[in-house]
Amino acid sequence: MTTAAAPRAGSFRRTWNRFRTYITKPQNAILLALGIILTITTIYPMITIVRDTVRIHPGSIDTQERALDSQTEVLGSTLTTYNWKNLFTDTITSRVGRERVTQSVASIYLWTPLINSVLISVFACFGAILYGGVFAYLVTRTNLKFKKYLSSIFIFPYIMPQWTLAVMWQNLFNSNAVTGGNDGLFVALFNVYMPKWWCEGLFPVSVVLAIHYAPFAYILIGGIFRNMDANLEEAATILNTPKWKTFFRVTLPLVRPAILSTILLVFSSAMGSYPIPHYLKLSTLSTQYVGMSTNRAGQASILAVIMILFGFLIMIVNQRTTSGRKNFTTVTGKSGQSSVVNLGPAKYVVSALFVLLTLFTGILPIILFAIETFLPNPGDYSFIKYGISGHTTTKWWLTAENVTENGMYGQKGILYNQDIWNAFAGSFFVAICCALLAGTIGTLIGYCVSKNRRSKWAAYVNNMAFLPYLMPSLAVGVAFFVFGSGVGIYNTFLLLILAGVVKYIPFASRSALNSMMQLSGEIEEAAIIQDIPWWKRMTQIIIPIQKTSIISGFLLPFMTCLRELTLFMLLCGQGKIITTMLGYFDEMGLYAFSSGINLILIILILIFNTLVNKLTGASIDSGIGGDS
Amino acid sequence: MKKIVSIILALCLCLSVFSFASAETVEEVIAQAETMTLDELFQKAIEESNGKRFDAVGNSSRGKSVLPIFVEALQKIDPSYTLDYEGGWQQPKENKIFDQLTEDINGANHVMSMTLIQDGNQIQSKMLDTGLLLNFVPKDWQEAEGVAKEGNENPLALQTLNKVFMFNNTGDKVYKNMWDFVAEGEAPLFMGVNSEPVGKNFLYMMTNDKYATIAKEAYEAWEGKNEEDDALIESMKEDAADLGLTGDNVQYGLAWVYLWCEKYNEQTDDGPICNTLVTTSAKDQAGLLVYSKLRSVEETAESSRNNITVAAYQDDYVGIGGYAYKHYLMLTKSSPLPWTSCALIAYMTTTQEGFAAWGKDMGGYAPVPACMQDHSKDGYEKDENGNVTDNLLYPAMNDRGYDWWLNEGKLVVEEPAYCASVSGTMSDWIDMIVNNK
Repeated sequence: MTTAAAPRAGSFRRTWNRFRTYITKPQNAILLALGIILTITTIYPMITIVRDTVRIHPGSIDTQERALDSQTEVLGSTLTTYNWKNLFTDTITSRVGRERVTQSVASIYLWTPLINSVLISVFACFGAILYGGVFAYLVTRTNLKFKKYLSSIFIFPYIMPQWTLAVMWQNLFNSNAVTGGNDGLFVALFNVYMPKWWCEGLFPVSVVLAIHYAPFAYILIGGIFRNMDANLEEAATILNTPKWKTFFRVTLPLVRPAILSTILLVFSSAMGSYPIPHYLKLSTLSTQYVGMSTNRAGQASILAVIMILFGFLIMIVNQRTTSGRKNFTTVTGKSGQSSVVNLGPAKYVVSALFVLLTLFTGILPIILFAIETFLPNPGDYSFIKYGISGHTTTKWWLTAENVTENGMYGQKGILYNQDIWNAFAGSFFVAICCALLAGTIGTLIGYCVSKNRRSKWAAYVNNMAFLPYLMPSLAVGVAFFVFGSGVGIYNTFLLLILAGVVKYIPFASRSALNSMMQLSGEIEEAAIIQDIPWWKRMTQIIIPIQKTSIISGFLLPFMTCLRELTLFMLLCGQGKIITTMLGYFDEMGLYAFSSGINLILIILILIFNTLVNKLTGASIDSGIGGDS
Repeated sequence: MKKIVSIILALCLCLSVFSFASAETVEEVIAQAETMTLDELFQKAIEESNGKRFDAVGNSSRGKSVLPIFVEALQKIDPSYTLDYEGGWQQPKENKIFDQLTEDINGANHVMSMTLIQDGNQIQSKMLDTGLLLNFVPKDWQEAEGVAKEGNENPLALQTLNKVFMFNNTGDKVYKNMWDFVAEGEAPLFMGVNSEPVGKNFLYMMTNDKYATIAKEAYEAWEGKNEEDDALIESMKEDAADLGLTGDNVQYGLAWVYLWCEKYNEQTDDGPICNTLVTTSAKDQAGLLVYSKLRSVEETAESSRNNITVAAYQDDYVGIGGYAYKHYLMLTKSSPLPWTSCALIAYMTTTQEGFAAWGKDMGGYAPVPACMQDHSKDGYEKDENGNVTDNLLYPAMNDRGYDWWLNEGKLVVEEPAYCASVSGTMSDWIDMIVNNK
């Protein structure tokens, strides 16, 4: 027995020693710890959703008479397969066009929303890449006028909560004759009636999403355009290749990874968007999830599972189509040679066109937000239509006491409304915590993965960190709702921060990974030879060198968190953070409050962005065109 | 040493016996509380919660405004009384109140003491049938003069709210019959039935024979009907049988529900519906919305409360004038502060100060008349001292009161048990119509 145990003990000791050697390297220890933490925080909430699909929900269809057989059939007394069976195999008989019609349950609750979700995601990708990509090219590779101004304004729709553009769309184009209700600004001012497909449904949802995510495409594609080595294009020019051919055969293939990155990121973000389809009346998986949670809670979770599967699918597509090095950014060498295309006289026309477009997507909403806060009733432009200057008010800002009369619904004016400022404070707290945690964890992941490029574990940690970003926000929100409710942390900042950190680590990890990849190992090795401890190497060598990229990794989670609704709307009450409060005011039709909050939010983000830019040189659009 | 151990053990035993003896279940607290006056409940609340944390969850954000007044009332008895309620009144979004309550009550960490909740259907099936929420009826409420007990006692209703048919009167169109709202070409504004489930409960209630009979009478008096409509109503008998609905006139209720679902124009909230209806450009537009929203309109060249007509206020209007749903008050089965919750519920339902946050609005009715404020002359001009003059400015603003709305206005009143009994089949039937339109 002793002789048999000896080799085993030796083998154990060898393994233990190997482990100890492995763990003594900081990057390995960090990777191990983060791998475990990320697996729990990413996978466990997903498991809770899957479990919810087979749970019995009192008051839901899975507890009603016709479900009883399924419950007793399998899985014991508290679990059931009824939700899956019913969704995919059962039918409902009701009325369509006065006729009695039988349809499958899936066709009502699943297929149409699923198709709509995929369509808006595809169209949003296409629109965002077209609009953002063209703009990125013009800003970085041509002699377009007003670059600095346009670059700053272009990112406004990304800073604004996404549904604000949807509400603006309604206010502009709705009309009594077409959509019902009262006339929007277009009818009131120009007597132009837009068709219904323009006002509601697939088209406006896709357009608004595309406008919202175009800055994303601009940042990703613009980054490559700016850093692209122009030698290849110049070679093509020397060989007398027509300009269009050079563009399609040389330039576009170079930005292909960035286009692919944009597609993957915008696709999942658009698919998970709740408020835009909700306001513009399109049934998608997200809106259906919310609608089904009353009577078909288990099946709503099935929809969330489907959204999660899309996240996995996108990750697989990403793995198949790009190598690890090329993932999502392609900041290449430091050639510094970039040719500027002369647009000739067209530069004024193109510039004017973009000034006009950004006026609609960036400036007009802000002007309308500002005007809205002085209207006596939401959307009541009497002072413009009838020229009555008295039909404006400062009540939305300056009412200092609780009043129900005159549309205040018991709310104090924005400047005196403690609930609004508390919600602002809540949002800032969550955003700062998320930015610090996601930024730090992401930077560490970027550093550790770059140090272990061939390690499978490093690749796993990297993918695990990126997975939540590829999953629709609503699905992540649902996962954390089920998880948070189960462990008693619903409506706490802890749950919001947890969800935000997990969702936004990729911003920092990708940016850190790419910057670390650019960093030669010799720099750190020199410090190691000098026996400089790890933390000192990080804080005094590595981070200072790549501070712009790293700070961007902190800045993006901060700003995204500030204007995020879909991820957080299921995790807290409406007064906890500013976006849930903003959503509440918009739903209630109290557009003056929501507009005022939007205005403050945008101004604060811009101030913050400028401040960080001045202090560190980093900003959302810096490095593309914003600083040129 | 043994002695010391024995003494400690004996002490522990005594303490545990004492603590078990003094521990009361929430049900026991309620049973005792139902025999106590408001003053006695206040005393119990002070003993229980002085210096402690209070959390509740509600559909109405106004719940949080009653808490400081409640604390002030207790401080009149004991000036040293404090209650930590800052941020303690939560208002979840997207119908998550039921999930939140379920998780809180079934979880290990109980936070919520009570709830102010709406949607009779889900309350019945998710909260009452499961025993997660417990009903408490204050003694003072039971004994209050003129209290409207029917439909308000179990579960205990804080108030009944009405949503009424209105239409923009700046055009030529008038709506004299409930069937006018579902006639060809109509698209009345209404909140989505899945975003505000009390709207779906209204549609369930329309199949109740009481309201289906009103629909039948209105249909017979309706000048706009044609053969197609007759055929539709006749064919609805088949649907009623499939859905397990009984009643002599259920086909009328069901036909109206079908036409309503096919036609209504979904809006995010009653606020935007009201803002739309009162404008001059919303000519001939109709809607079904919370009556009290009218209070929020400011008079301008574009918007006026005189641009709308409340359908049921027309002398020759036929049929239902809208529907009513309720805000219920209940304790959680695991309430950490049951005595305080009982005292607060009694305060809110039996005193004018406790109900003031809701009582200032027209269209909301407390079962105890003493809690109510008079809104029958809200449409009259007021002088500098706030006294009502004879100058009638906005006729639609004169609330005719709970009894009028129930009897003359023929409101469809939500009944939790009925809604829960038909929602299983009718919900899908409605969803299919709405999703296919």
